[in-house]
Order: sequence, then structure tokens, then C-alpha cells
Amino acid sequence: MKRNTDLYGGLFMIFISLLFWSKLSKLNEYSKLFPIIVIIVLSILGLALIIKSFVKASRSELFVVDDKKSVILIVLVTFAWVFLFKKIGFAVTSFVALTSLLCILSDKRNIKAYFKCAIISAVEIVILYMIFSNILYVPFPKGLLF
Amino acid sequence: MLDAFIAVFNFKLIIFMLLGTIGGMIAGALPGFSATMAVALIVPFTFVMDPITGLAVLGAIYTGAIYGGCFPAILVNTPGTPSSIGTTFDGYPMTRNGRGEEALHTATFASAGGGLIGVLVLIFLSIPLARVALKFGPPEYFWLAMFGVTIIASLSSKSLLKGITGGVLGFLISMIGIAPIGGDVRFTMGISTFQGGVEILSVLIGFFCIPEMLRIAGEIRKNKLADVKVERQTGVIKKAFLNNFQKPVNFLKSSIIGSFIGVLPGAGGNIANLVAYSEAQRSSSDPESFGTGNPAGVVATESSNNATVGSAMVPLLTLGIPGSPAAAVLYGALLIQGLTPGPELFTTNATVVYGFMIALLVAQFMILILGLAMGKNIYSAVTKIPAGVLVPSVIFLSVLGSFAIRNNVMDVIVMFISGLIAYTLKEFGFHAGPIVLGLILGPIAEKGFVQGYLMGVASGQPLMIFLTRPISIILIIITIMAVSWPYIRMLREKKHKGVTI
Repeated sequence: MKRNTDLYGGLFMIFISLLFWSKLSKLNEYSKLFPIIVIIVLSILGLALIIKSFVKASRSELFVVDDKKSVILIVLVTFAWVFLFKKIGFAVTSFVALTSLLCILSDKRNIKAYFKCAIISAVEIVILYMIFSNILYVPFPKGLLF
Repeated sequence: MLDAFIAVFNFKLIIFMLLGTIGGMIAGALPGFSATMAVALIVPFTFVMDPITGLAVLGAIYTGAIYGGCFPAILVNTPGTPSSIGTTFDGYPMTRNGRGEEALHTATFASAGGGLIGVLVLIFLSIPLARVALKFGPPEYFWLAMFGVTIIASLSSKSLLKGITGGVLGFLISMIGIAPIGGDVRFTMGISTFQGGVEILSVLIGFFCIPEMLRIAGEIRKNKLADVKVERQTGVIKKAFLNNFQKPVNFLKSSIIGSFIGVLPGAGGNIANLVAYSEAQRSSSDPESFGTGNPAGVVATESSNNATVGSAMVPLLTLGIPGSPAAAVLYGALLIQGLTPGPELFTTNATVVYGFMIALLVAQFMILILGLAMGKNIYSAVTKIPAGVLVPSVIFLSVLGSFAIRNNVMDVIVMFISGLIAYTLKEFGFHAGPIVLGLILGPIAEKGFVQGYLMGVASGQPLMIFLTRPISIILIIITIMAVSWPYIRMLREKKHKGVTI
């Protein structure tokens, strides 16, 4: 079903404008001088999009992909990954997450394919972990596990 | 300048650049994997390098990626990057006629030659432009930021309204953190990491990599690249050379078109290749042969798109205005190295600037040698990378890269959430380019506006200062032209259609 993208876009801009406007009160004159102008302009543009949505709307189908399930799973796994790697540890969360992403997108669904995903994941993590920790001196969080 | 030469011509840097060029060519050859994504993902690896090496590697990747886009365009009719769309028009028919190898080598000569002209434009135009930019005061910088956002909004989005809205949204996001004038901490939503502002590179990685990876993941069954067997031809390098330089007018004209379009903020190889192709066809004595495998079409598109690589750096280095999404990523890379893009860079860090320019020149010779030696093999290797491995690997690199910027988990969260917002906004018709440019130009616009306002207050007319200075007037006029151009073009097209009917 084709959706009115101007309306959604316009409402999003108005929401953002109101959110930022609500934070203006505590600022001094010079800190809020430019933000006030930008927020007003963004609200006007948001309103213009809403008006356009009633007059001459741009319509298109949203989030049209062949494999919606994979996309949702990828988003969920990555979401858990970025929120948990500090607490649990970078290496362990990365191994679980990367293996899961590889399995989600794998052509085949059998033990051999999943094992292959785990091997690819382990090799990638070891190589990049070594590069980042030993050459780029990036200390990754070890968390509860590693 | 001599220091810059010495800095560039050392063994370690040349090896890094070679690897960068090959990496860029592979990235460019992968449809859906843009030159900007390639540069954004590699920026974190350049932190520990000295500024010249880091920038040289990024320049090599960018050059390689823009060139690499021609491989799938010529061999399987699928442009690797938007800069190679026009290359499919004649490159693929050449492959179907058994002249694929000739087309690849023709594109290689054109890319290297066009790239060389683009870098020469960068060298000879940037110094006088930097001198002019030194005369800019706060009002001029304010208008320059406005010009940058409006032109990218008008060129990169189908809807000017959505393009400008995206740019203004970028301005607003850039205001998170400490106010440049006034000093208050603003809009942090209680998150202490935001006090220093949103990390630009995290947002850039999120905006450019995550939506594209989700799109590829959603269409993974369609994303299988076909391998093709390129027929061997004899004397093909000579033929390719002659295709470019026997009658050099097409090559020179296309390279100049590419250089000119590259200098304009917002316009890049994706526009240059189509403009150059259409001009080559219009001025040809045999326009009917275009689209059926005429090497002149490949010369036009590939010389023009690579010419934009060097010339797109002109506004970045001289004015501090990134002219393209890839230049925006390089802007972030410069900041991380402690360098502020702008005219002062030519005096405070001349060795780095000239070193970067020389490195871009060297990169053109690298794509020539690597392209002639292993171009078709690189494409063949690319077809063996399954999308099912590519997507998780790029997401992993995005996570690693955004963490490595400041060793901060919040930057990774910002990267991923930015990616999801960019994915959603793209569905609503808002492109990443204007938002990202607004994010980068926001502080320049704000500083210019508030300082200009204070100068105006001192003279008794706070806002008149923005409308009366000569350079400001010129910038206002070209900003209005940038906004009106899509409408003028639309009216002209309507009129033209009317006449045809």
C-alpha cells in the first residue's frame, strides 16, 4: 500500500522541532540565537510538507524488501550487540552477534553451514581484534566475560 | 612543496596507497558499496597514521572506488557506483560485442587521465581560491554554509523541499553540545557524551553504511553478481590508448566538465558522468553509434567521473566546505588528525595539503598500472564475495570503527541509531547527503551568523551586515540560483516537451 511520505516526513520534522524547542528556555541569549531560527525554519518546512501532503502528496510503498524477516533480525541482533558489548565483553558479544548475522543471511540452513558461519566469524574477529588492539591501540571493553 | 614530495615518496606510504587503491577498486566494483562507504569504513584505521599517510590512503581508496565502479558497469551492465551509470550505456554493449577487455582498458586510461586533470585543477585552483577565502568574514562564512546546503539539497534530492528540510535537520543536530558562542551546553537530552557534540564520523558511518547494508540484506537473493568471461583481444592496450588520445577532444572536454562539476559543492561524479556523456553524444559526428558500443561514451563518462575526485577537494581544502559526501568523510578525517579544513590550512599545514595533492596524483598512476594489470581479475574476485558475508562484515567494521574513534560505546550506539534514522528517512524521501552536509556546516553557519550579528549590533544594524558586503551579495545570488535551478530546469523541460508535442 502506497503511503503519504510527505505527511510522515512533515510530522517527524514538527516532532523534532518541538523536542528541541522545549530545551531552549535555560539557554543564554547567544547560545539560543541561531537554534531559535533553525527550529522555526524546520517547523515551517515541516508544515509545508504537511500542507503538500494534502495538496500534492508524494506516495510510495514503505520498507519494501524481499526478505523483511532477515532485515528485522539483523536490526535486533545489532541493537543487542551495540548495547551489550560493554557489559558482557567485546569479543564474546561480537562472536555471537557476527555468527548470528552470518547465519541469518546464509543460503543454507544446516549444522555444516552454521559451523562455517562460526568459523568465518571467529577468524574475522581475531584478525580485526589483533589489528585494533596491537596496531591501532584501541582497548576494547572486556566486560563480564571477554 | 619539497617536504611534501619527500613525505609522499617513501616506501611505507606507497605500499599503504597501493593497498588502498586495490581496496577501493574492490569496493567500487561491488554494486551497492559506494566510494563514500569505503572511505568512511577505513577512516578509523588511519588514526594512528601521520596525517599525510592517513589522507593519502583515504585519497587512494576514493580514487580506486570511483574507478572500480566501471568494472561491473562494463561487464554486467550494473554500475558499481552511481558515478558509472553512464558507463553502462556503451561499456556493456562493447562487452556483448566481444570488446569487453578493450572497454575495461579504455576506461582505465580515461579514469587515470581524467583523474590527473582533476588533481591539476585542485593544485592550480585551490591556492588562488584560498587567497580569496582569507578575505571572508563571519557573514561570508554564514552565506557559504547556506550555499553548500542549498546546492546539495537541490542536486541530490528529487524534492527540493525535502532536500532543504534535510539540510536544516542536519543544522539542528549539529547544535547538540556546547554552543560555539554563548558556551551553554545544549540539547544533550541528559547524555553526558553529547556535551562535546555528536561525533560526526559515527553519524557518517551510520548514515552511509547501515541503510545500504539493510537494503542489500533485504534483497540478498537478488544480489548475486554474475561472473563473466572476458574474451581475450590482441593489441588491446594500444586500441584503448588510441580510443582516448587519438582524437583527444572528447577526453579533454569530458575531463574539464568533470573538473568543473566536481568543484561545485554537492555535485559529483554521479552528475558529471551523465553530463559528459550527453555532451559527447551531442557533439559527435556519429551520435547514433552511442549506446551501441562506442568507446567515446566510455571515455566521456570515466574521464569525467574521475576528474571530480581531485576537484571535489577544492571547496573542502580552501573553504572548509565538503563538496560531496566522500569529501564530508574526509572532512571528519582531517578533524581527527587535528587539522581544520579552510584557507589557513595552506599556511599552517602546507606540507600536509601539498602532500595530499601529490598523493592524489600518484593514485591516478596507481589505478592506471593496477587497472591495466589486474582490472578484470579484481572484478572476478569481487564476484566470489557472497553478500551474506559482506553485509555482516561491513556492520562489524562499522561497530569497530565507530568505537575506535574515541573508545566510547555511546559513539557505537549513535552510529547504529543514526543508521536506522537514515534508513527510515530515506524511505520518506530524505537523502543522507543534505543531512550530513547540514551537520558539518551547522557550526560554520552558526559561528558566522552569531559573530556577524554581533558585528552588526556594534554598527547599529544587526542584520544589514549580512546583505551589504560584496562577497555576501555574490554568495546570496548563487544561493538563490541554486534554489531556483531545479524549477528553471523543470520549466525548460516542460516547454521543450510542449514544443515536441
